[in-house]
Amino acid sequence: MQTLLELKGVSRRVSDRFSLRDVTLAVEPGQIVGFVGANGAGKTTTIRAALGLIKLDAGEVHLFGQCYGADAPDETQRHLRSRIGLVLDTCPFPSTLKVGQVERLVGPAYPTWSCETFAGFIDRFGLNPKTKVKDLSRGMGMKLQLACALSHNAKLLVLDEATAGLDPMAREELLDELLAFVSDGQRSVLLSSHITSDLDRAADRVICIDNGSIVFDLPREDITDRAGIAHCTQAQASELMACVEGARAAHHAYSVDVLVPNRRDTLEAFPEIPCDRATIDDYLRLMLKGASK
Amino acid sequence: MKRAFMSELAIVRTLVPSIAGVGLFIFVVLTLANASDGDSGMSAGACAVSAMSPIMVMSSLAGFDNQNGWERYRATLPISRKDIICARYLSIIVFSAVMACAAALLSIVSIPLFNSAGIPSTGQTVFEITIASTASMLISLMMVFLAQPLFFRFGHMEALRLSVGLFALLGCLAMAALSSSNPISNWLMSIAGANPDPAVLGCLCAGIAVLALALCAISCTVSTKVYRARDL
Repeated sequence: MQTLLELKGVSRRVSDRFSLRDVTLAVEPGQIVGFVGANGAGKTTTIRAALGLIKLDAGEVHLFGQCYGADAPDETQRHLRSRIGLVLDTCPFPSTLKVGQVERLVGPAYPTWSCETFAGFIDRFGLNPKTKVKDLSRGMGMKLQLACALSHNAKLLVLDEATAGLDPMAREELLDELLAFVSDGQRSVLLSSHITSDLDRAADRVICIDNGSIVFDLPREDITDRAGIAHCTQAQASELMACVEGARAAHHAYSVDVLVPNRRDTLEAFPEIPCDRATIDDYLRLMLKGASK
Repeated sequence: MKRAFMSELAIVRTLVPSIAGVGLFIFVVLTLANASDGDSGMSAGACAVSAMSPIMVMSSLAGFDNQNGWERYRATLPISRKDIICARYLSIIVFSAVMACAAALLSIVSIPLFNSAGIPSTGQTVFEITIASTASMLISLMMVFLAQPLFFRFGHMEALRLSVGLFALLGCLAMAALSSSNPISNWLMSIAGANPDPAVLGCLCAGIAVLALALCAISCTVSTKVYRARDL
């Protein structure tokens, strides 16, 4: 099946201190892809590159199998963008507009816009059409964006830090919507977030970026089911690091946490060392801050 | 283009009450203050409203662009950047024309209220108010067309500072051009002075309209180039 979004070797110098460097990632149909990284790691810049909002120094972006970018012909851009839904961290609509008026703002842009679908989402999300955008809470603003993103039969949803600042119930609701969105196996979600617990539940793949470069791109099970955190003494850690390929260690005052790619193998080889399942948070922390062999 | 214009109209609609309210207040104050100057004073309110509307709508729309990341979000909608620019220019022109028409109509309708002040309800007065209102709108639109590429290049706040400087410079140039020692000023006064010929006034207005149209085309082209090159 056709890859919905593909970035190949994308590079872009943004400032003297930050550039995207050789970013390669793919979003396959039916997947929720978690895109994680610290603040300022390059998540939003990568999304801007994927959406053709910035020009690239090198590399290619393919959307729905077609070459896409800031320089693509207008007709191609229109056609491809009509199949994308976007949710940003802050509600982007002019603050004086009412919820009901947002449809007049966004709807005319999409040839496949459905007024009934939008009205249905507004009703389901409990949004009052007479409330002004500036009076919406963060969660309600996100739901309004989601209603817009889901009302034009989008094939790819891109969420940039959309869960940041949401309470656990609102995050839960959002994740339920995303899981329902990809359930037909044809559509996908690229979910950028630094709240990795959201991805523990929903993501099929996890891609990590740091300082403008991709650090890892793994199926979620490889992190949450296969990988483990071994809690060792200094001596055990040294032994483990010497024996296990790809292990990374984080030193604490009285112990050392060692990230191992395969928890079961480690437990078999070193039964005296306790080894817990890794969360995406642990994996991210040790991959970014831990020391390798 | 139509889709972009419809989207832009959704924002413009929300501006109508506030700009119309301010315009009405200015219209009443200026009309009352200047009606004693005869039919030329009678058009002061309509001229002021016609002149301020393009600048107010341009600045308001640019302000919305930079609010909450709307500009970036809009760039992800299936609308080309060229269409966004063209829709912006069209919205400003349509809004300005509607406001100028409303102001001129209001001025014409209120003439009978000032009959006692010596202002006759003649076709000449109506014509002069219409021409004055149209010319004010066109001159203001030309200023907007000069400033608009700055807004697309630098964003609202920076462009506002630059455009104030630009307008001040234009004001100085206009004053120099219209000083009594300048031959251009003398020529203008000779053809459109105290008792101008309606045909001459019409021709002057048409000339300004052609100039505004040419400036609009140039400005729109520059804005499109600038906006296409910009990272959002």
